[in-house]
Amino acid sequence: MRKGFMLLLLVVIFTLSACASSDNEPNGNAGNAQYSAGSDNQEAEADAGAANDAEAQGEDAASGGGELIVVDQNIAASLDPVQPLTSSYLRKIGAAEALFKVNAAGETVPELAEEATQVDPTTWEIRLRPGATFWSGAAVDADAVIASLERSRANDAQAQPFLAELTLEKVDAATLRVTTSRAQLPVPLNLSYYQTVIHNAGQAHDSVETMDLTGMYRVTAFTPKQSMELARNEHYWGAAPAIERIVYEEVADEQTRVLSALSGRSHVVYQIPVTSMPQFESREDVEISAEPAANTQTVYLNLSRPQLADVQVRQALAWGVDREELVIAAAEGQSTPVTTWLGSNPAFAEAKNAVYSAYDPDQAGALLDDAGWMLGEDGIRYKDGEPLQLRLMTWGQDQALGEALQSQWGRIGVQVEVQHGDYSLIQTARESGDWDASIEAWSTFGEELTLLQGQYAPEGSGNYGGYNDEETNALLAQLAEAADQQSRRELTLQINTRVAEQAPVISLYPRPQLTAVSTALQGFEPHFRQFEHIVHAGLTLAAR
Amino acid sequence: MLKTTLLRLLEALATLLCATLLLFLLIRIAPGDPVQILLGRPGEAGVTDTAMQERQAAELRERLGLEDPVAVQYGRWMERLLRLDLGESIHTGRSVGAELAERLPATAALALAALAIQLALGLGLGIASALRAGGMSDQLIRIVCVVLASTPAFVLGLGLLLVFAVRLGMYEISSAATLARLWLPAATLGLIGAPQLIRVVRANLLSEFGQVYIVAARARGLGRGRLALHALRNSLASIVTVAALSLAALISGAVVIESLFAWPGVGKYALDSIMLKDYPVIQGYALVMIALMIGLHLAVELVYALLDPRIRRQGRRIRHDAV
Repeated sequence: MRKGFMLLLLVVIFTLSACASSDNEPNGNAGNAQYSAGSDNQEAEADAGAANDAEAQGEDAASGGGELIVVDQNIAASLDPVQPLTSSYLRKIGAAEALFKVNAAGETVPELAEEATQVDPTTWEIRLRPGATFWSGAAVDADAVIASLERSRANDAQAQPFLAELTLEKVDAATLRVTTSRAQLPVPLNLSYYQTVIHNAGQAHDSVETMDLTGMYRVTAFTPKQSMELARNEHYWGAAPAIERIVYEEVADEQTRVLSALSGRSHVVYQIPVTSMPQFESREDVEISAEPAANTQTVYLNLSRPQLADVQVRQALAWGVDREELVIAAAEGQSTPVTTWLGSNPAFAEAKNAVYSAYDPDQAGALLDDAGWMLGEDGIRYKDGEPLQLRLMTWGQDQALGEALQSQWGRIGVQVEVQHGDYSLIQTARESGDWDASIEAWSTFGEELTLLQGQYAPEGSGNYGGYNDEETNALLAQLAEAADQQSRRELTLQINTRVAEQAPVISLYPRPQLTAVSTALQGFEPHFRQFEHIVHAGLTLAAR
Repeated sequence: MLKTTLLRLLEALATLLCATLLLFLLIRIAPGDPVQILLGRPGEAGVTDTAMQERQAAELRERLGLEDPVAVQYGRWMERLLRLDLGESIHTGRSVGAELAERLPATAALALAALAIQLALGLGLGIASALRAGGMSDQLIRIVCVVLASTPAFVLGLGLLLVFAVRLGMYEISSAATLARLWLPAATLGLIGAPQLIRVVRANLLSEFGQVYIVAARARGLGRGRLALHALRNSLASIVTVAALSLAALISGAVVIESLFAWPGVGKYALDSIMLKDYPVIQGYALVMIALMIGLHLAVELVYALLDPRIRRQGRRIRHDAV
């Protein structure tokens, strides 16, 4: 029997080894009246230069190419750019392009467009880049662009916010006129979102063979929600990318993504959890890019709750937050504090710490005393016999943040209960009105009026707490009527400050976006919208 | 036997019908709105227009029939089921049946490989443990069983990934469903499921070893190996039950392991759909899994009859009695 047992053990070991060994291959947001391709050309030249450098160094780059492996939490479920989120994945991986793009400084620059000129407050003219073609060789002309955007408008609900107020017409083969239903709408910004990628509307986009986009890489194989393979588009209008092939894979589990980065197989791994930072500290073959995103981790307060209806209580909560400590405790130090909502938008960097410039628990205590919430012997504040307490709802990776806030607010006498769960629980609680506070991170990059109205106008979909302030409303109305960029900017900053002072929400820090990047990959560029800016012509792969 | 089988089939059909109603209701009671998820929260887009968002959501709900009363929605689903149509995914717009069919082979391959490992370990270590009951190796096997049974699947899976993918570089973390990537998730599932089978084999063999026929065989000088084979034959019914239940659990419950190893099977598909509140996919997946469970249970009963002549005789006796 002992022999039999040993034999069985040997068979198992042999089988496992055999299996294993076969598998080792490894803002100017809106203000610029003219958007020209100059900066973009410089970028393209820089990309090409990087590729040439790599080639000169004898690395496996422009001449031979190599294979870039990108791992993400999710990839596309279809190939049609008008299906939900598909265009975001196609753009991220270099297969699709829009008329414009946003650079790392938050400026809108041309991509498939050559330039955009604002003719009057409601009219823009966009000249298309000469020589740009789809993968099929068909020209990217005015007809093709209009057909693409109209198809997105008709079929992609997520494209509606960017296209609903635009009317498109052809001026000539290389120029289109865009009329807006609202004055001073930043058309180039609207046409920079992934929902507006330009695709050949005459094609079916239901298979690798029938899809037709413009990117520097074309899709050669695709399995929904599993993997996508891409090869260099040999007829690309811009600088030819150095890397020959890309494999784009979905690994949904965050710990597995971390291990994928640590195993050295993947070159770029998106959405690394902050809690995994220590695992990368001693590694020399992989680095973490932690560019802050243009969104703000924000505590939304339910202003219909009696204790939170008092502005002094809300201000006390804002003063009582040690944001530096939060960044360390909940984001492993991979972010920077912001005290106003727009502070995470690179175009409004000066608004970062405009209000609540320092952690001040004494000021918080004084405000609560003024509001009648007196400290009890148990360390909790009371008013009319009622304790000052709130229930803070968190979801996703925000539990640690909730607990850190619980501790900090506890120090000023506020009793906080953290309730962590699925996002749908927060939605349900909001619908029923049974909530005190919740944490959310909205994008702060976009057209200022729409963003601020969404958050702070009484009917705004992000105005969860029911904030309705006369002065803010008046400023929003002025912003809607503002005729020039300078006054729009000043009004935007005023609204941002006013809201921070009234504290219907408490801004904390931009949610960190961690990307693991192999040191074998050169030319990686951090971007505040990393999710759609990874692949460019200047990326090169060194031999490992 | 035929009558018993028909009776079981009728019971299975009734169970399936009840299950459809229950899972349809439970999915709709759960919080979350598939339309809001499909449209994306306005904050993610950076543009907020409440009126437009609400109008789009209402249009989409109308188009998907989600505004109809639940009874109407259920009736519509049942009508499609009778045509063997599981509906279309809200998220991808593709046929749920087709999407499940694409992923089932990967899950089946994983489940069968894991079952093979479970059986190899269960029989090998179970027999070894029974033959040396109370000895050093028996104690060791029992300790290993306790450790494995109390280790969560994701801990073992991550541990194995760390060793084989990161430390040894013997395993590739990717999303492909290839034979070369099968062994580690299969080993994880096999190791997690093996303790139950080891214990069943050991307990049954020890029980059989006390039987008169084994004592007699031992008195006639039969070796331990032959004795174990005789005893094993009489324990097969229990072992088959555990193995069949394991297979059912492996097919329907490998969600965590599939997600952990990025194995593109139905478990991962179901998990994604739950996150997206994709009703037709969740319903379709659950229904197929329930049908599979019922089918496996029926198959086990048939195998019982083949393995145990007493059950066949009992069936005949029932028939004679009825006559």
